[in-house]
Amino acid sequence: MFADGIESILSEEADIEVVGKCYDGEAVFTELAEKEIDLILLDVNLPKMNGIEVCKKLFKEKTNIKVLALSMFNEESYVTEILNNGAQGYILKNTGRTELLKSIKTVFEGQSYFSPAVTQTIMKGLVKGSESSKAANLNIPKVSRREKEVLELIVKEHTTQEIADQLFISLKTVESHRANLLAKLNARNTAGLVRIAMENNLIDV
Amino acid sequence: MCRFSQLLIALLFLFPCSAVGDTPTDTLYSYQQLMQFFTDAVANSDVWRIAEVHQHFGDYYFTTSNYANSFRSYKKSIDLFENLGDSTSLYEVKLSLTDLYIFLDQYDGAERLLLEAIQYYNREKKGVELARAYLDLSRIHLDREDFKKEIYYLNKSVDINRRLKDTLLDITIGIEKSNSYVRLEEKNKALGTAERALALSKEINNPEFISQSLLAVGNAYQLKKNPKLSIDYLRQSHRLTLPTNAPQFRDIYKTMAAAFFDQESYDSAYIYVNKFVALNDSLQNADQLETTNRLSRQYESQKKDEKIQELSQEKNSAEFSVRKQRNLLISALIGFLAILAGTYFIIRFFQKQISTRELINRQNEKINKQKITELENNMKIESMHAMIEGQEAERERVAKDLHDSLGGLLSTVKLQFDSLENKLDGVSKFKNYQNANRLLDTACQEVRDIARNMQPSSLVNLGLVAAVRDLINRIDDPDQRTIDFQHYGLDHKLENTVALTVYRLVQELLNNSIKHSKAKEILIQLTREESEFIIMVEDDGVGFDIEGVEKGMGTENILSRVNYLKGDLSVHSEKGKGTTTLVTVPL
Repeated sequence: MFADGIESILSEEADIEVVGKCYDGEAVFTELAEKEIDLILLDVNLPKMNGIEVCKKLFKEKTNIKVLALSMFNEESYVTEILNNGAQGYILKNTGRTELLKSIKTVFEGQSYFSPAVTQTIMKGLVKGSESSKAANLNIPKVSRREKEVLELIVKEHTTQEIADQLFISLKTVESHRANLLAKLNARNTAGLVRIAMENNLIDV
Repeated sequence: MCRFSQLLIALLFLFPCSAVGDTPTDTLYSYQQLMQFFTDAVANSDVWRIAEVHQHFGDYYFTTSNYANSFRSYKKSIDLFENLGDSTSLYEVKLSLTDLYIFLDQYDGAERLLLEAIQYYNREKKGVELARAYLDLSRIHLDREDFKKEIYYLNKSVDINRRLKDTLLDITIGIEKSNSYVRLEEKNKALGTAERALALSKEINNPEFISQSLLAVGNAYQLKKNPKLSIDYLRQSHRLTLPTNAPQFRDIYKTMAAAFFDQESYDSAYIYVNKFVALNDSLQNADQLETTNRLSRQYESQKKDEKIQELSQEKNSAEFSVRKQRNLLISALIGFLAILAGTYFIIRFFQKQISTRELINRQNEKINKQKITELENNMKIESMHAMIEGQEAERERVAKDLHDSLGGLLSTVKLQFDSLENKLDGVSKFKNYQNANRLLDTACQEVRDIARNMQPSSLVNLGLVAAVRDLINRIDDPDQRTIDFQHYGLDHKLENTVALTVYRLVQELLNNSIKHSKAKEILIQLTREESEFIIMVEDDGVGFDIEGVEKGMGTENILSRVNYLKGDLSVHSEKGKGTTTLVTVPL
């Protein structure tokens, strides 16, 4: 129904021709084989093969077709994902006629276009992302307060049982913290953990 | 039934004096007499006589209104005569049984027996019996109110009687035929038959039949709408009717009343109606009295039977009780010894068993208790699973519906509405148009938000990390806290239910932190190890006393989800130092 609405609006434009409509991701490629297409208005949420996968495949096949993503979702993850896979624009479904035409023309001319709300989402993601990277110490991700306590006791060569007793936590919890530390400091064992901790001044000794 | 019983009484009068002659049933014996006959016959081994006595018993029971016994006796008699090959006697009993059937309104049985008898009498050319059987058959149809069939059988009877020339039977049939014609409203035939019966009656000069015939003629004239002649005949009949024949008086009064009514002599009609009603009432009372008498007679005869049976039983039981006592003594002695021995062995057996059994019982009890708790726990977990799964399934459905149908619909409306701007110049200047456009955007946004909160589509499509990142990005936080999200080893997709539950846990923990902790920094950390998954959420907020924490919906939700994943929950919090929550989930 929504596709029909779009079609009826676009067919009124002299410089735009609607050459086909698809109702699932796979159908895009059969249409593509038969017709010459400049631009695809691509719904992110499609049955059989979702928009992101369609975009990925188009990008892989190195077609010169421009992709303008069209979605109900205003989520940073969707926007980032589909842009990373070669889409040039991202508009929300509640876009009006004027904006729709504008976005199509912009993308067709090789530029990017985002709905204002989408731009906001992207900005927000960038700000939060910069905040968290600011908190991180160079290449080393932030070590949590509790992890630091465990790390200090590990460096002081306490056994797991002793750490558990001292921090009033279970053995299992100590193990979990240790596992987290190994993962984030990219260490392979306790010795590595101690070395990296000392090198990066992660602990107050 | 009522009508028939009167006819039957008439029959009993009729046949003894007719040419049918003496049937064995015409003499009624007392019970004592019959018993005497019976014992004699048995002593002499005279089967034929036994059969005959049974027939008499049947008659006796019939007249004493003990119909069940009557039926049994007739049956016995029939069986015996059949074995003896005495067809004459056999059909006599069968006809007696027919009378019983008719009396009890069992017309089907009676008809069957009569047809059987008719066949037999036809074969044997026994005219009198045949005529009698046809007459009986006609009466069955009279009672069934099938008058045509009644007349058919009456005519059969007449045909046979033509050879027999039994006048009394002729008259009887004639009167009955006339009555039937009256019922069928065949006026001329009714009058003809009645007049012939009257002539015959006068020939043999039998006042009873004359009066009956006169009544029939009177009835016929009444039917012919000749009340004057009708009254004339009825008066004659009235004169000749025996004072004891109340039913006939009643019938006379009935027709009289009708005739006077037709004559428009209403006073006289009124008198006869009254007479008719009075007599009819008393006759019905008599009928009821008869029923009462019958019942009391039945009761008495039953008593008599019982007493006889009692006597014979007493004699038997006297012999029996002596033997019984001796046997009882012996068996009691044996039984006592057996019980004694049995008890000894049982006690020995149980002494051995009792200690081991107790041990086993105690162990079994323990095992059972464990099983029960295990089952209970399993059930709890099961129901929790069902609840969580049901909830998520429902959320998924609603989210999908919102997105696909309502979302699509709203988007289309927005598109169409917005394109009006192109068609109607200046429409965008109207405030209403602008407002509506804006409200449509808000509606789209709302649907999006509600659907996302129901279930984030990015979780299914893009994975846990993307979904958590979106979750963090969406938080509108006026305090601008730093939310750090770290994840390790999450390159592979988790199973959907696990991913969803982890997502909900993170959501819940993050909400708690933001709402209550006043933290400046929040760290969310997801780590996937080989065999477990670790969720850690830590803040630098106010912390809380773990003991004092209320079990609000938040903590309940967190616990149930951790249990659902069979995971471990560890919360560490100190006042002023923040909170660390660690969830470990086995994979």
